[in-house]
Amino acid sequence: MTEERRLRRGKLWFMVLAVLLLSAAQSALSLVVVVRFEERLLPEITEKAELVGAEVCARIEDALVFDRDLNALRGVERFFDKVLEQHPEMITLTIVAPDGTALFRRGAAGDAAAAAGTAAAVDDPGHDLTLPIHIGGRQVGRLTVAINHRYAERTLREMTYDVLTVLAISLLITFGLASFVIQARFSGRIDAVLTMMDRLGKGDLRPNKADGIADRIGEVVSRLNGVVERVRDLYRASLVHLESFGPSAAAHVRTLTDLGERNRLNDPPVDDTPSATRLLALRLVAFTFFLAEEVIRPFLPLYVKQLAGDLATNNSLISLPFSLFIFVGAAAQPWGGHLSERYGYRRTFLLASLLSAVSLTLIVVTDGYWWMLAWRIVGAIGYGVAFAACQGYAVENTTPATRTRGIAVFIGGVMAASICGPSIGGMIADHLGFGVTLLFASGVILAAMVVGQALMGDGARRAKAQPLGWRELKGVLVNPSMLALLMLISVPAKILLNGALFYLTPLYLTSIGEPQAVVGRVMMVYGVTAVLLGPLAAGCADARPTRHHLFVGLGATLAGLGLAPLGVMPDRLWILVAGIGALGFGQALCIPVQLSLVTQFAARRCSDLGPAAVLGVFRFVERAGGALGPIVAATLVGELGYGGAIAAMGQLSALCAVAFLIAFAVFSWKVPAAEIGGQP
Amino acid sequence: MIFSLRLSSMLILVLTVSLGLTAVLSYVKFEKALVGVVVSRHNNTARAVADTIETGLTLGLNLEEVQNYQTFINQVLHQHSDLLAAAVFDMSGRPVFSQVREGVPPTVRWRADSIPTEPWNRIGPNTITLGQPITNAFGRASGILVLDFSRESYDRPLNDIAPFMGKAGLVIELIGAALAVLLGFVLIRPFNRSLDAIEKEVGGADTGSSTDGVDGWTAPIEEEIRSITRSLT
Repeated sequence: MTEERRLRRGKLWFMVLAVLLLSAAQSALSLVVVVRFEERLLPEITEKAELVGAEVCARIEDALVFDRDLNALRGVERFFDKVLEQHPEMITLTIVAPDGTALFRRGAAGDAAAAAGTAAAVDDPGHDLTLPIHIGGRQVGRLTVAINHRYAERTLREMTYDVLTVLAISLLITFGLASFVIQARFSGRIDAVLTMMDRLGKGDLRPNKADGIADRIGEVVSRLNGVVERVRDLYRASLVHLESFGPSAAAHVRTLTDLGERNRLNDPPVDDTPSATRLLALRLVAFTFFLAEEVIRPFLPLYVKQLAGDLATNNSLISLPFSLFIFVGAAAQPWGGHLSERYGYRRTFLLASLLSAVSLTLIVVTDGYWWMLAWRIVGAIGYGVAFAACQGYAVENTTPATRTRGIAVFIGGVMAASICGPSIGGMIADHLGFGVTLLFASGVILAAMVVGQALMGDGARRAKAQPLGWRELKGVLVNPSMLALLMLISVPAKILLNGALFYLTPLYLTSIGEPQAVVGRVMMVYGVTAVLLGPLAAGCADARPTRHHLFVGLGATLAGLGLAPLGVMPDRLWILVAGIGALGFGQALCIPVQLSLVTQFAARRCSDLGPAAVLGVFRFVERAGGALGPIVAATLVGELGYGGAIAAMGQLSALCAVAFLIAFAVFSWKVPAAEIGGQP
Repeated sequence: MIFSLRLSSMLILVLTVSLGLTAVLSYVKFEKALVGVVVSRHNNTARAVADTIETGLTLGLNLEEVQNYQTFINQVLHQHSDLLAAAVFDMSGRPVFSQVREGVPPTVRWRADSIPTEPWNRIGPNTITLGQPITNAFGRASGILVLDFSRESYDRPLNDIAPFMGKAGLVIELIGAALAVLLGFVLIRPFNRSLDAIEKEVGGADTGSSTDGVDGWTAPIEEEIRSITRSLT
């Protein structure tokens, strides 16, 4: 026990300091990079203003060929307005006569000009420009250009945000990798040794499946295995010896066999790897697999449009691959869960991954919209089955006491992929094109297969698991507590997510003039909050197993209420950002706990069908309901505007959550603390 | 010692991956921002040239009917030192006017079925190419202006940034690696202490002679097996 505590403390310190080191190194690189980027980009922006200024001067000189008097020029203001509109790098254009009089000036006064009040004072050689205007080699005036420093600052700030986004993505990937490496190579292996020692102390003399790493831990495992093998050899030799006496030694043989069974001397070697290692491995597998789907997300609509050709005028045909993917993916989940229960999680995951990889490759190889649609359906089956297999594996490797944390680890991997994938995919697509990015995604899935083959297990297969039919599906759902959870928490949460965040938020931000980069960053707040706070929330929930319903209800209420202030102040960006943060936190609080509750509400069904299949059914209904999100949003937006519609959806979701809490209290639903799934 | 080095090397590996990832992704972001600025600058030239050509078409003439465009294209090439080639194509993809700076091989080839009707740009291995559609006075597409710019203004900042990032990354990597080695030595202690305690508890497991440690746990079972055998023989 003392060793466990010391080990836990050591692991914590190591993780904290390793995280600090990695964050500091990455932040330092990002900082020097940002400074250098600014130094290199600013002259390019200024140079453009110079070039445009020279073009404007040339146009004025052309005009003066016909009318040699600067004062008599016509249409200068209109021309300047057009130039300023096309080139936001410049804020003011002024034609100044030789005596310093400003003849024509358009645009908001630049900082320098406004301060000085005269056109001549605009000449700030550091930033602003003065260009001579000539007729036949004689200077007749000058053009002064005030550079829009705010524009330059905004461009540089955008780039700084981009670098910070890159930093966040990089940190997410790094921490996933670092926590797995430390757990798998060090602390998890020491935990495994402690488990083995505990087993041996209790008389379980099965050897440990040695990992073959030759270090101090490996040596201890070898020594323990050596002792175990010595006893097992003695047992086997004694058994052969006793059997050689024939029937007269039957009683002795039986006594010895009983001893062997009691101490598991004939059992195969056991894997003592702790569930934390398996879950971190699952996170890595899930991250890699789901990254592939996220990588193609930014350009897929455009790609579909390109393939559709003449069909592109029909909007339903453009959205069909997306709706079908969601529907088929959700519908495949119950059967994916069932396959996992019957044939093992790893095998099912590998099969599903193969389907997904093949579908992505064939989208590139074959040509035309309908082929693409067919391959996307195949990919959706792979996606749904892989999701169910991973989800089931997370449940398999947890006990009710650790389930929420386990599921949060898996969901964290999926969320991290959804944050990192679009940025990485967008960059690859920009540089190498859509086809190469699809093949890259296919390669990522193959990598996920390699990682899955190495790190996942098949679990305790339930070969006798009931076949999954309509009756079984219905059986899962005709359960009042399960129905309440679905209809008052899960479906409203998905409607809120799909409708308010994924559908309305981009439209709302675009409507208030925010660029695409800002839309991406604001949407990212949801994922980042969920990834960062999810594990903490899950740990709190696991520490209070009888209060799971409260976590679900309060999480969903927070997620909804966070968006409510938008109804009163719809034009404040920070309110939307805070609301999305609350949505991320609230949903991080309730999603893993929900799945934990499902395995408890449907405990009997879980033991009949397997938890993966039951969770698959739950996910199917949840996602099918979530498809209503954009429809609800589109209905509300006409009446309430973007901010009002987002707020109303949040309020409705919060109301449903409160209704769930009331129902839970009124009907006194109990949460059975039964053990579900295999050995953690 | 070896154990702590293993721990440090794992950390250094993760550090290398993370710095590499940050550097590559940041470089790509910078490149994107730079493309935006450079293309916007060249776009200004392209738009101005296209405007002048379109002014000549206001009388409803076709491109090939305007006499002085070749001279104008030559002038444009003369005025912009970073412009390598300029060409005006009609809607069948035939070059009507073109000029290539001396010593620069012409890179632009068109097929009649691929005339874009929107402005476009492409960063090629040797040039930055911009296309600007030309419309006549009635708003109908008459052809396209294609300008090949030198990549110098684009390559210069990139060529500066790449080695800078390499050097900065290397320095940070070295400092980080040194700290990782230090961390390995300091933080391996709890792991080592745990292993020391475990090894002590396992005791003389490999000798089979001690009654302490793991031998102590298995000794009663071994004794029981032996006693069952002995009771018969």
